[in-house]
Order: sequence, then C-alpha cells, then structure tokens
Amino acid sequence: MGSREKAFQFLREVPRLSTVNLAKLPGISRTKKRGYGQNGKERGWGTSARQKMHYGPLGYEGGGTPIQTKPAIERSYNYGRHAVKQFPPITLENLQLAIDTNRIDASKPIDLATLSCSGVFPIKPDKNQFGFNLISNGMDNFKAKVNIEVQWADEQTIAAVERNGGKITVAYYDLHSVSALSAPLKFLRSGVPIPRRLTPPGNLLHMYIDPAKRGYLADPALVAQERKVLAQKYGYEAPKYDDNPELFEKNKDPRQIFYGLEPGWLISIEDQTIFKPKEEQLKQMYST
Amino acid sequence: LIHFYKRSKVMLAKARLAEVLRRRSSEFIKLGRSASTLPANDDQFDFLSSFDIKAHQARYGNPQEVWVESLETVQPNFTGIRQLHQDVFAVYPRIDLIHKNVVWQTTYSKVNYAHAKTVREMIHYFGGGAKPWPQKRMGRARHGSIRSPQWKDGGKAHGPRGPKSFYHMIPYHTRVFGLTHTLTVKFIQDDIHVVKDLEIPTDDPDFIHEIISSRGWGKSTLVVDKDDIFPRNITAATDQIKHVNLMPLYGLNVLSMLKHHTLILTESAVEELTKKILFALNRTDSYARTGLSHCGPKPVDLKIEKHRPVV
Repeated sequence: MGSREKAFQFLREVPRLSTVNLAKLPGISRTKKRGYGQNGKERGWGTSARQKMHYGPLGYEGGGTPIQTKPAIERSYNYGRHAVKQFPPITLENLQLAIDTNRIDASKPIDLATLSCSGVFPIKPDKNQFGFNLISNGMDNFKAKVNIEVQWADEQTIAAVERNGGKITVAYYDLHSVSALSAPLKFLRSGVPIPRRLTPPGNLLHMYIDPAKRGYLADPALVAQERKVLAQKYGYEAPKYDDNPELFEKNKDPRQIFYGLEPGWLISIEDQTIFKPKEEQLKQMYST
Repeated sequence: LIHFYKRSKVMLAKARLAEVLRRRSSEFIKLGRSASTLPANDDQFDFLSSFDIKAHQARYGNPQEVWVESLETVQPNFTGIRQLHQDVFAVYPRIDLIHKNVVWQTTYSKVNYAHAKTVREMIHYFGGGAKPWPQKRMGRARHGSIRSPQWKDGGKAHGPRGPKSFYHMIPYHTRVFGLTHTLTVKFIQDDIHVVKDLEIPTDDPDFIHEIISSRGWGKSTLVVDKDDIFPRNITAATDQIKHVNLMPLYGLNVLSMLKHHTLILTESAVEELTKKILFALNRTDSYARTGLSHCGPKPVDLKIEKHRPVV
C-alpha cells in the first residue's frame, strides 16, 4: 500500500477535519538576542574606566574574529566568474520530447522565444544567460526535422539536426535582446520600440563567423558547402530546403530580434497596430 | 507651525491605511469578477477557456469514483457514477497547507485599531504643554508638562501606534493546494456528495431537513453550483435555514469547506472546478502569476495601450 493510500485509511478512521484540529509543521525556534550583556550598548565591557580594563583573552582584537580564528577563504579563484557569459544546455533528447508532447511546434521555425515560452526551457538574463547551447545527448533517437536557431552548438549536434533534413543556425543575442525574446509579450507591452540586436563581442566572434559552426554572420555559400562536407564525414545525405520553403526560408537579419518584426517598430498588441519610424535618421540607425 | 500640527500623525496614519485597504480591496474585487463572472470576448490571452482536460493526463494515482445523486426524493436516490480527477480529489493530504490557508483567510482582513496617544498627542487634544511650576525653590519634583508618561492622564511612551493591518498574501500555488488538499480530505472522509442538479420538488424547508436526516448529511451543508443563480425552490427552502448555505463555485474556499460538515457539488461545478484547478496546477506563466501575489495587481497606465493584469 502506498503512502497516499495509508494516509487515506488514517483519515477514514479519525474524526472529521475542521478548524479545531489543524496544526502547522513544527518549526525551528530561533533564539532571540536580548538587549543586554554582549548585545547591549556596552557590548559586555561595562560603563566605567575600571570595567574597561579587562583586556580580553590572548589574541583578542576588540570583538571581531581574530586572525587565528578566521576561516581560510580562497578569494581569487573565481575572479570574473560572474561576468562570464552563460549558455545553459538543451539536450536533443529533451528537444525531441518537447516536440513529441506538443510543447514545441516543429512545423515553424524554433528560436529562443519558442523555447523560452514553451515553459520547459527557462532562460534567466539576470543570471548572465545569453541563450541556449544545443548539446548532442540523445542524438541517436533524435528524429525531428526542425529549423532551429540556438546560441551555441557543436559539430555532432549540427550533424544530428541536418541528418533529419533540418536546419540549425547559431546566432548571438545581447542581454537586452535575450530579455525581450524570453518574455516577448511582457517586452512588447512595455511600450519600448524594438531595439536592434548588437554584434557579438570579440572573444566569441570565432563562433559566429565560422561556416563550420553554422554562424549567422558566415557566408551562406560557405555554409552550404560545409553542410555537404559534414554529410560526407558522417555518412548521410546533405539536407535540401527547397521542398519546404515555409519552414526553412525564414531567416533573421543580424539586427533583427523577432521574426517578422524589424528594429525601430513600436507594437501595440491591444490595438493590433504597428508604429514605424518616419525620420530618415532613425530608419538608417535601426537598419544598419 | 500651530496650523501644521493640527493635522496630527494619527489622522494621517488612519487616512493612509484606509486608502491602502480601499485600493487593495477594489482591485481584488475587480480581479475576482473578471476571472470567472465576466465573459471573455475574443480574448487571446484567455488560456483557461481553451484548456483541454482530456489532453492533460495525470501521472500518478488512480481516478476516484463517486455516486451521482438526485434531490428529487427525500430517500437516497443514486442516478449514476462519476469519476473525479486524482490531482484535485486524491492528493497526499497535507494538513499544514490547509492550516496556512485557514490562518490567512481569518487574518488577512484583520485590522488592529489599538492606538495609544503619545505625550505630544495628549497635549494637542487635552492641553498641558506648559511647565506646571518653576524648576527650583518649590520643594516639588521637577516637571516639564503634566502629560509626560509618569503622570496620570499622561501620554504612553511605547504604546500601540495607530491602526495596524494584518494584510498579507500567501503564494498563489499555496492557495491552489489549499483547495485541492481540503477537497481531498473532505472526499476521503465521505463528506462530499455530487448531485446531478439542484432541482427540488417543493420550496418547503422541511424537505431540506428530511433530506439531510435521511441521507446522513452533516448538520451544516454547503451547496456549491457553477453559477451564482440557483433554482427558485432550493433558494426559498434554504433561505431560513442558517446551516444550509448556497455558494457559487467562485466563492469556494478552504474555511467554508471546513466549517460546513458536508459539501454538495453539482456535476457542472465538479467539471468546472477540475478544469480550473488543473489549469492552475499546470499553467506555464507561473512566474508572472506568483509575482502578482507578492506585489499585488499592477495596471500600467500607458497612453498607447492598457495593460491587462495577469489573473
């Protein structure tokens, strides 16, 4: 008999539950600090000059932790760790599961917004998370044909996606764009015009201009060639995107955050209208 | 300076508290009505109406079964069997969650109006700001005013200050669990009866008394239907009976369920309740919803558009 069934049997035998036989869980009692003695005004030192002549034990340093008692703290091993850009991983296994359970629609392009809004893959920009890293766990059972855009991917993942005829792109989003994409409705309701996406920083540029990594800034012709190379390496047919233009022809401009929406536009969901900038200066600023 | 002092701190505190309570209560009334009573017309954010119970399968446990009764006759009259979802009516019962909900319900609207006047307030209302007698040569103790704490009718130094509100919110999911756990306990202790509908043949209160005694229902009964308009006969019959109460589904709460011995649910109420609770347990915008419990509803007044609060 499970614990639930045991609980039910117990409930059937005891009197009816009402407001008089309720109780909360036993809590931890915290000792209150009293306003005298060591926690009082004089902190245990007394009031007169004579009382202040008790100098304390050996090593006493006036109340703070003395150096011989201080715990060993290693300070500089994680220096700069807070500033490192994070790309939390998504396994191909979990992606397949999400598609199979209808959390994610594989007939439309998948990007950071789709993954975040599915509720299965949370993203937290305040924790320095710049997007998702698609890893190859479960690639043997990955059967879905998708057009997916992630922020980091390795060779085996790319091969697993393209083996099924899918398309993978690796694109960079700065934190402001990640915040906008991860909670799109909240951002669009805030009344701020869509900003333009920033270019990747120097130390990450190698990822996004490399056709072998399917970077979004790489030459498309070179990317197509790399697809053939990878197909030959792993022994599958190179993917073709002609027969499903709806799914595969949607590409994002390097300055674009949302599919179908350009930077500079101001969206009103309640009134179902888009306000576009008219000034030439603004248009140029948002488009370059 | 005298004019400024006339508006005392007590009046300010009372006005501030009243303003806060009025604003909070009006906002909550708005939310309660928009959630269930007002119809949603072409609302693209109305996920509750498009939530499909059959698509959601519970992982653990087995569905429970309950008799469906009819109120046409005094004698017990079973017309069928109905399945109840285990995530709503058969969860592992946690009494401490029920306790939390009951404590919250009883204390969140409580206001402690105790207020002890300080020395300055006593002087303001009753006088006595002047030095009662000169400092020296009187042979008496030295005093600055006749309203200091050691005097009779003096001010209180560290007394209760102004109205104090005990308003607080427990998290959204704690409140959802309160409902599910209380429903479970009531169901397991055989205090829930599901009824086809609330049509009774007469509007005589004695009919209700006879039904309760013949079917072994507890003294106090809570009858819950989906909408807030009940059939004429049962309304008339239970109107004078203080321990039989009619309640729409949106009024269902833990304290009422515990105070009444028996809970009668109509079939439509059970269906709607299951749908709402399963939606609440499986919603994907929990982050936004729990944020509301901490800070309260925040409508943003922008000229371009109106922000629709998350419910």
